[in-house]
Amino acid sequence: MRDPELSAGEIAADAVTADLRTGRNALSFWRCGNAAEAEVERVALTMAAAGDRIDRLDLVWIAEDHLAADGQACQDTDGRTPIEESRSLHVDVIRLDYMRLGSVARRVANAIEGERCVRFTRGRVKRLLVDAVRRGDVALADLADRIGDEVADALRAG
Amino acid sequence: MSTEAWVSVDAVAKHLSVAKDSIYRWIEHKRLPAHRVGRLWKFKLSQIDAWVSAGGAASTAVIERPPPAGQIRDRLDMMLGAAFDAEPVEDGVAHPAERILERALHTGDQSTAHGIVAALCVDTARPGFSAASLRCLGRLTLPGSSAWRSSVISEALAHSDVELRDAAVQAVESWGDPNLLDVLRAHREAVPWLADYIREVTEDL
Repeated sequence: MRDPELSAGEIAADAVTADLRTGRNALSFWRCGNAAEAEVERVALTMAAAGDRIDRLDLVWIAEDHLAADGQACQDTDGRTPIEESRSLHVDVIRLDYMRLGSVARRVANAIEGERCVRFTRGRVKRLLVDAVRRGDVALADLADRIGDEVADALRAG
Repeated sequence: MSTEAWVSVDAVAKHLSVAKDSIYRWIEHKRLPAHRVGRLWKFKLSQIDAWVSAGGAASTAVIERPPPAGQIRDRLDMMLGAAFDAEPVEDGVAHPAERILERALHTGDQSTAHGIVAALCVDTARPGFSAASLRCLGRLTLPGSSAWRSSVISEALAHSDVELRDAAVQAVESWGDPNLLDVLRAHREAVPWLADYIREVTEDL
């Protein structure tokens, strides 16, 4: 979101503190191959299935070599998602300090400016989840209760 | 010369060995000397002691009335502010402010409660706070009447802050209430990505 009091190119502190929340000085990312629609959808499903509720989803993609060029350290870690085959796609950017977090924020801002981002509406997220359960990629029981109930209703409704 | 420090409601409650609720009640009903500093009440213990000595806290046959709307609003404001300070609202992740709003909507007189919640969700002076509140309100299952929700959304969409307008659209999307489609359709959005989002939500609903 652009703050009208900030000029173009300035990154809102709120965006950093709200959208780039670190844990143990690391940020969580998911790999999405070549950022083709199917790949991005797979990441959206991976993240949505890990949530507490069905909600819209904003995704931004950053080239791994850009992170490497910024001197970021990446570490493959198991992702928290019930989509088993996606867990290995998770990567943490680790050892973040003030400067390196700023670099990530700049990359995210550039990605948004360059339209390397997408918003999945709540309806689209729900369709992804319903289709995944139908295909057997995830079991209803592995989803949070509220998500599972809503997906089950959608499946019953056909 | 030293200046007496301002102290919190916790310190006053401890000083008098009473519950914090008593302090709030005495501020409202018995003119306990208290001063507003932003969202917080602050006190001087010398003034508190003088008030007690003068019989301020003495038991009298006071008929307890519900706190006035201003006080309810201030407390809700404070609780929501603390919840948002503790953690930002993230898509797909439950937030404690949802429960705070739910309780507020079901406490006391309903029209007063709805008025207070609506005012906090479209507070023009604090669009970031209002956007966070509205995003959490949107997660509750169809709060209030359709007409009330419609008026909250209309007011938020008329705001100059894009984050608040975005939160309004998200609330409509979460409620999935087709009665609010007209509000979205009537809105003329100048920001392209938000206009796209509105179009997609309208199609989804």
